[in-house]
Amino acid sequence: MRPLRSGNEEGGWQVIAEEAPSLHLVDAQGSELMSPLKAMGLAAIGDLDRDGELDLVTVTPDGRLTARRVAR
Amino acid sequence: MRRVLLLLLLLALTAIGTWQLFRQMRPAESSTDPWSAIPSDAALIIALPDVRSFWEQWTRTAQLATVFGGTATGQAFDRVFSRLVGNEADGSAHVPLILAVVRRDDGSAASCAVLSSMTPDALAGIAAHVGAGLGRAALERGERIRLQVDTGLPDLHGTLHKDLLLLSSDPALLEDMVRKTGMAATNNGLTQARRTLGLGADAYVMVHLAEAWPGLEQWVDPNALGELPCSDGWAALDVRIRPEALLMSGVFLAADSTGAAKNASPFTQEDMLRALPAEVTVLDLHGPEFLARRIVDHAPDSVRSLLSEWSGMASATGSGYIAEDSLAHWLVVAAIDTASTARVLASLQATGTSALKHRGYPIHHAPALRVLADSTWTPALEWVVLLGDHVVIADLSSAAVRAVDAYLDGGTLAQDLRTSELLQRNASPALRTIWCDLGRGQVQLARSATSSAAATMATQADLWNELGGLLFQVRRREKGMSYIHLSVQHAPISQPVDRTRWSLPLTAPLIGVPQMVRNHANGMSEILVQDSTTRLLLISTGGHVLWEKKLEGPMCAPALQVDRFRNGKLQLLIGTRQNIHLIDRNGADVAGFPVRLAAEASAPLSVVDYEKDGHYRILVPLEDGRLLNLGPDGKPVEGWTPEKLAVPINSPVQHLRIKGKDHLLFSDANGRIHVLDRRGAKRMAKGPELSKGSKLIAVVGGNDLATSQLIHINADGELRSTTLGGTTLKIGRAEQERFGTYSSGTGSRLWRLDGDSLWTRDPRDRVASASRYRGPA
Repeated sequence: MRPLRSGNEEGGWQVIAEEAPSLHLVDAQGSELMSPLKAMGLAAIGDLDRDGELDLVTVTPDGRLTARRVAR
Repeated sequence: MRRVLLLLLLLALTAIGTWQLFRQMRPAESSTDPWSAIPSDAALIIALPDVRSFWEQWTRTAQLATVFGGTATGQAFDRVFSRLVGNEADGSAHVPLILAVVRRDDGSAASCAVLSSMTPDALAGIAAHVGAGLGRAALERGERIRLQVDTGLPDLHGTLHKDLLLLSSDPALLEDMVRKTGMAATNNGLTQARRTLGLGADAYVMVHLAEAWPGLEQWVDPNALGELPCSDGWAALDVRIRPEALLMSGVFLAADSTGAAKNASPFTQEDMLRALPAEVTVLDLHGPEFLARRIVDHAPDSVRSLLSEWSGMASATGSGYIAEDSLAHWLVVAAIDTASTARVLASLQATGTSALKHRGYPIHHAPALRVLADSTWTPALEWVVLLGDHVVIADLSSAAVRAVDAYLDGGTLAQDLRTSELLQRNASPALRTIWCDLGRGQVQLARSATSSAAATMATQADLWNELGGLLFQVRRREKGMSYIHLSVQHAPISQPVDRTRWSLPLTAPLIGVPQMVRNHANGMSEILVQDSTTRLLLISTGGHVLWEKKLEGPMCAPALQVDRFRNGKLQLLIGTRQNIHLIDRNGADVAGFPVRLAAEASAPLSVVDYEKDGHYRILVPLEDGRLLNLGPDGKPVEGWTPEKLAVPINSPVQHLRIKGKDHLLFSDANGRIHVLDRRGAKRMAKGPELSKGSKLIAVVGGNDLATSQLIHINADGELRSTTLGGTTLKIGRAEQERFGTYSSGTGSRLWRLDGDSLWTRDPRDRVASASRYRGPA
């Protein structure tokens, strides 16, 4: 597995696995913070509507810009 | 003593003078309570604390806004509100609005509205703006005017009275409002309900049940509507607009609370959903009083004793289509002693018949159970089966069969992903829960609608398909008040209901990473993206495109948000190779921008706010070796006289403040570090020289300039840390663009990715964490 890009936001890193495009959110110890998500690139991460839940916004394999809650 | 008196006199005069001065400076506000103009017999009242904030929140956040905007009424409101909030010059920056609907004697409805303002003089202008410039002068003279606000809405009659703008579709109602305005409130129910409203809601809704209930006959068939479901009273609800739902929570104040249930405990719905098939689209979860009343009031003595166990039990009723033209109804109640219950059900079997057997489960035909049916819901409940520890009673034998199949095959309502997700979002344990899947249940709802409403629904099927659950709950009762919740969800039936908030098709691939930007009006986030055609798109919290704007090229770096006018409103600062853009939240260029660069940008721009007071500077490195310094207005900062370099600057400018002095640091293409002061003069005659092609990526401040560290990457992709004193440490190799800095509780740290490992270090080369990340194959 080869990380494509990563960025630090909200206490976690995003790592994109290139082979099976999937987005992983991991902490500094490498622990996954959510189930891997099918995605074509890095996501914007934050609480979209201030409801206390973390949201990811990324391009999904169907070419759509998709916002979804992070299931921790 | 005289001195003391003189001093006191002087102090008193100063205080009076100051008070007078501030009184004159304060904006004149409507002194009359706008609620006093609202008719006391109103059936429905909607109050918006501020028209602009509400419209902002509704249009930029709620996915339901798109659905409502698809209706003719929604489009009319869209046009009116857009005009109402469209002109800040009219002083509509803070305009509370109260809308009310009143039922007239002939059963028809009349509407009215009251607008107030911090600047009452602006109200005539607002009316003229909304009413297409009609009658402003007449309005200012206090005359009655007629406004045609929109072709899709009735004309309004209006007048300015006691610093309020009063509007009504009925001229007689307008005169009533004029007479009432300023008088003390007499309607105790409304007054008490108002007192329960919370602070900070997006809107407030108040319903006078006895007045509003008959009005529903406009949409609901009278037979399905039935009589008033409880005693009269006022509901007062705080409205919160969320991307996926409209949430309303508050209280119902019964005019007579003596009959209200006491000592009832909220219950969860999960158990009973396990016995109902997933076809259920309308669900009603009752407290124990429902079955008790049916049994006590309607069951003959012989049956009443058999069913006495159920009198103290919560129950659920549900309905839905099990086949085309086959609407089925079910009632579920828990069985405490299943063996005993099985015997009771067998004893209810119709004389001379035997139970049906379906997959091992006896289904009894029990006409005696018809007493449990409510004619507004279904006239018949007579097929009963025991499924686990729940009794399921259906109106059709096929419905009982379907319940058995769902129970055995995992097709229950509890196992239906859409229903469980929608209920999980907003439902809580409650005394009563009514839930309807508006998208899936629209055919069933149309059966209960009037013929005209059903016809309208049929033409708007696409819009109904966008809707999720309608939820009503009575969550608890205390001191004569029922705490209630009402919500409407957005959940298109064409999409699976999972953790996806929204999904938007793109017409071109994106460049870079989506970016969350703050909406200063509501504190929520919106999404900024740029696609391969270099269009910039701002997408609302709710997932629709607010605006798009073509740029001349890709952004050099993610947009920054700045407060250009230091008024709490944010703009997007974006640098391309050719221009600096400052774009407001509506996609318009701020005056003075874009700024055309004399040479192409050689690195992303930086924003430095030296004193943290909003007087920021925009620093732009250029290919010709110059470093541009612009003020918030986009004009060059006077007194900025840096030396022009012989080679391009290849890093964004980093700001460092040490011992009260500002330092601007950057690297050039030869690897030389430059340190300037605020005016562009050199703070170091000769900065450290890194290897050629090195790029400065971060600066970590030390105790002084010499111990401050420059984090840089060389042409071979090796990360290094060099103090301004000249000491260099190797950090490691990072694949290009796969490194950065972040703040932790103990200070700045550096991270990098190397192969499948994620490394983090503190700047002094102490390993904070070096972990190998291995994702799933």
